[in-house]
Amino acid sequence: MAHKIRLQSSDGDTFDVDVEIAKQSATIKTMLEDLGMEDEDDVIPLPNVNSAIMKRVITWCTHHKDDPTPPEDDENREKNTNDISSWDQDFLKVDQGTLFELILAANYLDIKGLLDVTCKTVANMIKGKTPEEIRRTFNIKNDFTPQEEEQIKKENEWCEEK
Amino acid sequence: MVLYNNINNSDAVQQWNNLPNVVLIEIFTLLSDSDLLNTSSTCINWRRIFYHPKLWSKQRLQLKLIDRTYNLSAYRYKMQNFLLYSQLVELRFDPTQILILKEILQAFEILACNRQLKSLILRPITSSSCLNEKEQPTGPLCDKIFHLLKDVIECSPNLEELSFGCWIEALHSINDLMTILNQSRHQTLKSLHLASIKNSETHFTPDIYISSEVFSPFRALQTLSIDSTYLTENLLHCFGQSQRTPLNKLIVHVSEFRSDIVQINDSVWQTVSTNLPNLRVTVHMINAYETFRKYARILRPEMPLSHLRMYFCSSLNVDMLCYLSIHYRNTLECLDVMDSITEPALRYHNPFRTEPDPLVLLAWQCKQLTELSILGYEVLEVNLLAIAKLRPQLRTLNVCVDCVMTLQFGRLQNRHFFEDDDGEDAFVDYGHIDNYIQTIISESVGWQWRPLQKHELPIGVYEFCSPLELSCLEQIHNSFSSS
Repeated sequence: MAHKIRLQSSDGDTFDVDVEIAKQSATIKTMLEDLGMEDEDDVIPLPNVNSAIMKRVITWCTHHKDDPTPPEDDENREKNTNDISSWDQDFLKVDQGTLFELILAANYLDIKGLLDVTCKTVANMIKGKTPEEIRRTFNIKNDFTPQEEEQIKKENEWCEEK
Repeated sequence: MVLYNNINNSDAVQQWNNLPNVVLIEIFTLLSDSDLLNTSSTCINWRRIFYHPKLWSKQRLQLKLIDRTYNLSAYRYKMQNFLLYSQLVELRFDPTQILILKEILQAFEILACNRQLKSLILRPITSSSCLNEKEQPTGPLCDKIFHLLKDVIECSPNLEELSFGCWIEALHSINDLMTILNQSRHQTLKSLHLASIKNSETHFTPDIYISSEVFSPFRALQTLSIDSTYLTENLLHCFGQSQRTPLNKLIVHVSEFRSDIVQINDSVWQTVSTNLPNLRVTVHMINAYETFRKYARILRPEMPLSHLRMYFCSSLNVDMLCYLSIHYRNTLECLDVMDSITEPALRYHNPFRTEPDPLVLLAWQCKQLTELSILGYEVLEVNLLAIAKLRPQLRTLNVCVDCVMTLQFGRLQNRHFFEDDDGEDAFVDYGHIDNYIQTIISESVGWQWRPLQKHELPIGVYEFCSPLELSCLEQIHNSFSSS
């Protein structure tokens, strides 16, 4: 019988999840191991994640439950953003708001694989775009003064010089 | 773990520009350099993240302050934003300008707080800060440089590469710097460049005594460049006689041939080559005009010579070329000779003799040869063709177009007129190469070959330039860096 634990979202809903699946989140793993919350009756509150996102995260973790542990932050990691599996690509075909919240959840729950794949997706959305196009894609307000923009243009030229 | 206000899917606008820093950095590390510049130009927060060391500290930071083209704003911007955390730093500067020197010394001060520094490469465009040829390096300047470099070295526990770029004012205290390196960096240092360009015509720098033993603790050293004064049997003993070290590149600078140069026994070179089979020696001769017999004191037959560069030595001749062909046929990869074009032009060989051209012989004998550059000497067009056919693996084949000589028989062209031994008339023409021959050469080597035009050559070839090293220092610096 698989050992399950109970996770509670910000909206108050609870989700029963296999311990091994839940432990893909380093945050949850820490809570269980260091804070001794392994009892079946214990409920782990996750006030930063709402139910909709919680469901998706659990789906992702369930699919990836047999993945090998990702390597420690490799200093020489290649800048490869083309290696997202097709399952993950489908999983991430969501509206921008959901993607945004998945990133926040992956960061808060410390799920390296999910953070990885969501960041790669965002990077792919940025590639090849001009600053203005990037702003439009992500609804970012240009909070520079015209003088600051001029300065940045110059600085960018200096950075590109060899 | 960052706590956020509860954000619902239905909230109007997600604050992408306010994602947690750690996430933004994660995303930005996946971007190319140009994408990163564009991304960081979108808003204040993302521009701030742009300066996080994780995004650029592993790329080589190149700071440039060279007369007439230097952009002080660009230099200061880079220095202030990137120098403190860069792991790899290169400083390219004109050491004769006080204002530029001030900025460089300030860079050293910042580097003295940079604990990540792995590689520091200095590339002054001339070898001395002295404006006047007759001046001596000034004491106070040398002291200041020494103290700053001492701080930099002591503060960088990961220092792997250090090049003084032949800068005399920095090498002035080389004895004391070696002591410090010996004590604190001997385990990490992989690449060390102490060679200088001593030129008794312009600067007199007395030799500084460095005992060979000071090199023994450097167990990780792979590349070392030194002046020929320090090339002694004791030094080779440190690296190649008792224990194996990873040393695979030794660069030796010869500026003058003093009568007291101690010749290294061939048996010593043999032992070194056996213990260090990957060791290759590069010899740079700068303004070292000498008889061939003196050259042979440094260029011992058993030395594993791979690169020979002779700048302004006026010494390329048959003896030299034959010697190189015989002794270095298995190791020589590069022969780079640069001399000023004179009137009458320099010749390494009498083209009217019937023996095979010694340069062609060298190209044929030296099976590892990939770079051949002969500037300032006349070269027969047909010999270039022979060289290309015999050594098609050449990646570089440089001659000045004005030095290319073609022999014409039976056609008067209002040019030179020579009589050869047989009494027949031969006409010599310069400055062009037959298109057909150029095509065949290109086909032989597999890339578009052509002789170099006047404007493509270093300044010293056509005009007298002072100091001489303006023509060749860049190439010397390049040879320090390439593996």
